[in-house]
Formats: sequence, C-alpha cells, structure tokens
Amino acid sequence: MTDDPGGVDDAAKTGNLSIRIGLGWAKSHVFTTGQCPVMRYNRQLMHAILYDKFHPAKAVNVTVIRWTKRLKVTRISIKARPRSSSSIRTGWWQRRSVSIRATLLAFCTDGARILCSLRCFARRHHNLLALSFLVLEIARFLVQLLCFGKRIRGVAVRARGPGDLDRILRLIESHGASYWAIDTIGLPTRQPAYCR
Amino acid sequence: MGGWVGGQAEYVMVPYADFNLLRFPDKGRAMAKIKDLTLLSDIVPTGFHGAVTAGVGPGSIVYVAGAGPVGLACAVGCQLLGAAVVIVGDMIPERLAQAKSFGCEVIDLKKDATLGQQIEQIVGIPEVECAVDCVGFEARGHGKDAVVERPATVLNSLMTVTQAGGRLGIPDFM
Repeated sequence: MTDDPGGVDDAAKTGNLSIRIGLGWAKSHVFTTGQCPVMRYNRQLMHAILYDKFHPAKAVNVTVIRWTKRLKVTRISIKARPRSSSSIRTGWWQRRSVSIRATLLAFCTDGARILCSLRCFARRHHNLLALSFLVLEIARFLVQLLCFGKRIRGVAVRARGPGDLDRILRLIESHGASYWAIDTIGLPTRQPAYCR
Repeated sequence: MGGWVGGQAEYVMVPYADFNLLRFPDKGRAMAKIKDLTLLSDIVPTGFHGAVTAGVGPGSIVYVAGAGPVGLACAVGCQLLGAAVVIVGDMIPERLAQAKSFGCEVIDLKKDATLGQQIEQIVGIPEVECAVDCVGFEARGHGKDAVVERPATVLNSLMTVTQAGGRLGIPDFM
C-alpha cells in the first residue's frame, strides 16, 4: 500500500522518499502525516457549513452531474430475449435494432464485479481505449452466455457514480454501440434499468 | 476509505454505519448546502487535517503545495482557521485561477524563479510559517524540471521555504 511500483526511481518503488531530512532537522521542523481522522473534524466542519462560515464546494468548484436527466429511462422486462442469436455472434455492437437492445437489457449479470475489474484495469494502464475494448468484450461474453445459458437475470454495468456512468456511456458510444443498460446504484438487479 | 470506494454518489454503502455516520440536524438546511456537506466525506477533512497539523492559525502565512481538490480544500480550510495569507502553488493555470477566485495568492511552479523567490514577491520574505503537502508521490520538479517526476521534490521545497521551527502537514489521501 505504501509502495509505488510505477515510481520513477528505486526509492519511490519501495515507498521511500529521498528527502533532505538533515535540513528539516537543522530547522527544527515538525512533520505530521498519516491518514485523516475524519470524525475528528466532521461535526465542527458541518456546523461551519450549515452556519455559512465555510464554503468548500465553491472553493473546489464542485459540479453536480444530474445524470438521470441525460438518459432516456426505459422500463424493461427481464424476460426480453433476442430475436436472433446470429446477430449476437456476428457482432451485436454494430447493429441497431430493438432485439439487440432487449438482449443487452436482459443479459448481463454481475455488474458490480465487472466495474471493479474495469477500474483496476484502467488504473494500471491509464488507457481508456483499452478500457472500452474490455467493456465490449465482457458484454459480448455475457450476451453469448445468455444465448446458450438462459439463466441471465439482470442488467449490464453498474455505475457507482455519475462519473462512471458518463464515462462508460461515452466509451461505448465511441466504439459504435447503440444501446446499453446500466443498473442504478442501490437497485437490485431484477429491477428496471436505465437504458440509452 | 480503505477498500470502500466512493462517497459522493447518490447512494453509498457505509460500513459500521451505526457508529460513523454524521447525522444532519435539519434536513432542509442540509439539502440547501448538500454540495458543501457532501465534501465532508472525503477531501474537506483531509485538506483541513493538513492545515491543522501544519499549525495554521490566526494570522498564519501558509504555503499549500498543490491545487487539486485536496489542495483547494486545504486552502479554504486555512482561511477558516484564520490564516492571513494562503499561498497555493501548482503548474496548471486553471487550478491556480480557481485558487485565486476565493482569495488565495498563487504561485506558478512552471516558472523558472525558485519557490522562495516567488514567495518573497508575495510576502516580502522567502519563507512561510507553515506548509502543507497536498501533492503526494506523483510530484514533479520545478521550473525546467516541471516535466520530470520527482517524488521528493515537494517535501524538500517545503522544508526549504518553511521557517525554522515551522510545521509541515502531510495529509494522506489515497
């Protein structure tokens, strides 16, 4: 956890810093580090905010993404099935048809786990194109699974926040996919999904 | 927080919620300031912790290294604690403009002038009373070295510009 394997020098790779500690000693500096004890400040900072003494959102330029308004919300049925399995095998992301949308909505299962692996991948490679490729490959696999397994219940990717949702949609669109299904946070997988 | 991801979404899962949740006293007032209050889950306490551990108090002259979200939260936290001058250093013009928008002095670290020289132009002496590192491991060099990653450069420069007996806050944000 304290290591930085991608660091630029050997010291950083093992979590060490080449600091001039002698300078700090000579100037009698006091260093304090460690993880923030959030609960030590939460209540006082809350009061400062509620009584108009503290406006951090303005300082850090907070922008709220109201993502539900940007999406067309469609109620879907978990019984939706593809009309043709051949369309799936030949590259469903290139087609724009109702049957394919139904397939996607009916299909993917463990969205949370998918997103988790995507995040790890992105962090390691910093390559969004690779990420989009992985999204599509996973979705393709899940759609194929529906075709042969007939045990699929839920919805595609579960976004953990507006940023995730927006990014995933952008990536999928840039890859040419027309439809996608995204489970909202907190909804069980059998519930309706948001679909574009 | 540890392995728990997020905290600024519409819904979050809170481990040990019976113990560590903060209850807002009035829902109406809280919703009116929900953008500010949301930040209590992460960057604001972290930045504020940096300011507290750096010993920022009324009349302090403080230098905050880094104008990312934690750095900006730290800067506004320094103002809350009563700092006389809050100087924020970064290399990205938009971030510096944001810091300037709420009353901070700013330092462009891409310039060739040393950090001490730039601080001297603001406060008259090349030193500050306390400093906060809001950059972390992925720090870059100064001036001509701005394109090169130098993990230790921030702490070394903070020690250089902090007066003798001063305090350095190095809050953790993972």
